[in-house]
Amino acid sequence: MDFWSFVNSRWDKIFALTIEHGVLILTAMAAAIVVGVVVGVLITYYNPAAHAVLYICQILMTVPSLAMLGLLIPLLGIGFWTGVVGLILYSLLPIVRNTYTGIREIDPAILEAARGMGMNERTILLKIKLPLALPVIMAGIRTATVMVVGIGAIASYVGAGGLGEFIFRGISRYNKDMILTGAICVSVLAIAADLILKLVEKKASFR
Amino acid sequence: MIKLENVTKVFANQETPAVKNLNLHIKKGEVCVLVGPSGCGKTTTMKMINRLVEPTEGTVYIDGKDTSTVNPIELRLNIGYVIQEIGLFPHLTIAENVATVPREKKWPAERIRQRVEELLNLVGLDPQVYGNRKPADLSGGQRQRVGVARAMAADPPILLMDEPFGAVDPITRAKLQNEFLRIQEQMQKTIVFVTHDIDEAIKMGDKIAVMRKGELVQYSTPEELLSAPANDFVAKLVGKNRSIKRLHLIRVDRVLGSNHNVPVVKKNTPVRKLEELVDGSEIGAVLVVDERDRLLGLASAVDIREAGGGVAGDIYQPLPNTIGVGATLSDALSVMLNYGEGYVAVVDKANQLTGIITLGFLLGLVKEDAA
Ligand SMILES: Nc1ncnc2c1ncn2[C@@H]1O[C@H](COP(=O)(O)OP(=O)(O)O)[C@@H](O)[C@H]1O
Ligand SMILES: [Mg+2]
Repeated sequence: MDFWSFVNSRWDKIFALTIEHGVLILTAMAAAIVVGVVVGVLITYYNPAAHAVLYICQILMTVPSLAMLGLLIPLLGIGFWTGVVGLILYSLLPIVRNTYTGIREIDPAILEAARGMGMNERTILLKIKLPLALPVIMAGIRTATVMVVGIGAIASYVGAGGLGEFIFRGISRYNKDMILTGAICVSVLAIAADLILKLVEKKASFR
Repeated sequence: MIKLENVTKVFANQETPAVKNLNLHIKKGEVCVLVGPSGCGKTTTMKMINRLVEPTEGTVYIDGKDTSTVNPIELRLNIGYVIQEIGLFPHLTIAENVATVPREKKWPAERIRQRVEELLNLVGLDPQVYGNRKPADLSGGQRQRVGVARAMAADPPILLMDEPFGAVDPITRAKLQNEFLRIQEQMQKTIVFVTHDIDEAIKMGDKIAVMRKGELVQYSTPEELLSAPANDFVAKLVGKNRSIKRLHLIRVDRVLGSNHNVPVVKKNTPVRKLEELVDGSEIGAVLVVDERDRLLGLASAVDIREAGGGVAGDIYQPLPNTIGVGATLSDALSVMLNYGEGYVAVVDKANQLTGIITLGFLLGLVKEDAA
C-alpha cells in the first residue's frame, strides 16, 4: 500500500490519536509545570537541598524511557495516568533547573531594593522574582515540552494511547507506512509546540 | 530621631566586627553622612537602621522606640531606601517602580497616580514622557532620580541612601547633589547618607560621621571637620587645602548667624531710628525687609541722611547681590566680585532674608586655616 492512500484511509484515526497525544502531553506538562516551578522556587531558599534535588532530577533523565515506563507499571498499572506520571518525571529537570537558575540569577541589587523598601517575601516572589525569571522558566518549559512530545510516543507502550500506537503497531505488523505516519505526526506536534512556546517566551520577556 | 547605642555587628564566620560599639544620634530633619574608606562599615551601619542587618549587640532607636520590637516590614515601609546599584525593577515601568511602596501600603489607585506624577516632576522627569518607559530606556542619571523618587514615594520621614550618586559621572553627580539639596530644603527629611567621597560628605551633610575599621572617629559638622579634624586619619581624609575646600564646599546656610554686623529693619521703621543703626553697620547700610521678612533692598547711610524723615520703606534701593541658601561660600565670593560689593544677602526660596555673608567673614575663615 502506498503511503498517501494509507494516510487517506486512516484520516480519522490519525486525527484521534494526535488529539489523544496532545491531551497526554498537555496533562503531563500542566502537572509538571506546577510541580517543577514549586520545587524550583522552594530550593532557591535552601541551597543544600537545591543540589540534591537537581541531582535527582538529572538521574531521572538518564533512565531509558522504556525502562522508566516499564518500572511504573507495577506501581500504577497500565493506562493514561501511568504515561502522564512518566512524562512528568522526564520534564522535571528542565523546569526545576530553569526556575532555580532564573531566580538565582536575578541581580541581587533588585532584591535588596525590594527588601529594603519593605516588600514581604511573598510579594517579592510573586511580583519580582517570578516575573523576572519567567523568560528562563519558559525556556525550560519549551525544552521539556518538545522532549516529552517525543517520549510521549513511547507511553503508548504502557497503554497511555497517542501516536505511539501507530508506531508500535507498525513495528509489530511490519507496516512502514504506519510507522512513518506516527513518526511524522509526532515531529509535527513537536515542531508546533516549539514554535508556539517560542512565541510565548518572547511575550514573557520584559525587555 | 535615630539613635544607635553601643551597636556592634560581627558577621558570621568573621572575627573582626564590621561595626564596633557605635554610638550615633541623628536629629530630626538632619542629613547625617557616613563617610570613610571602603569596607569601614558604612553600609552595615545603615542597614542596621532598617534591619536588613541585625546588630549583634546594642540597640537602634527610632523616635525613641527600640527597632528590634518593630515588625521589620512595617519599619521598612516607613524608611526610604536608595542604593548605589539603584535596583530598579526592570520589568516594571518607571511609574510602577515609583509606586512600589504606596502599593504595598494599599493606597487608592488615584492617590498613587497623583503621587507618582508629583514625584517624577519633583526629580525633574516629565511623567508624560518617562512614566511608561522601562528602566533600561533611561540614562544612568535618570535612573538615579527614579531611585530617589521611589524611595520618597510614601513620604517616609527617614531616608537611607547608600552612595546614591556613586554610579554616575562627576557632572551628573554634582547636578543630582544640588537637586537633592534643593528637594531636602523643602522636605526636611531625616537622612542617613553613605559615601566614600569626603567632598560629597562636606557638601551634603549637616553632620558627618567619619568611620574607620568599624569605629566612629569623628562626628561633627562639616565646618568642624575642616577646621578641627580629630586626628591624623581625619586630617588626611579631608586633605590639604582645607580653606579652599571650605570656600568650595561649605554652604552659606551653614555659616549664617552672628557672623556679621549688618542691621536688618522692617519697612515701617522710622528713618530716625535708622540713623543710629547704620552707624554700627559693617557695610555702611541697613537691609530693609517687608512684614514677612522678605528682602526689599538696602538703605545706605547717605540715603538715610538725605531722607530726613519717613520710614525705611520709602528710601530703600533694590539689592541685586543676593544668593540662595543652597549656594556655597565660593558662590558668595563670586557674587561679591561680580558686583564689587563686600557682602551678599542670603535669601531663601520665598525671598526671605536669612542672613548676610561679608568679605571680612570669608577672609577670616581662610586666615583661620592658614594660621
Ligand atoms: N553580609 C556580609 N557577610 C559577611 N561580611 C560582610 C557582609 N557585609 C559586609 N561584610 C563585611 O563587613 C565589613 C564592612 O562592610 P561594609 O559595611 O559594606 O563597608 P562599607 O559600606 O563601608 O564599604 C567588610 O569587611 C565586609 O567585608
Ligand atoms: Mg558600602
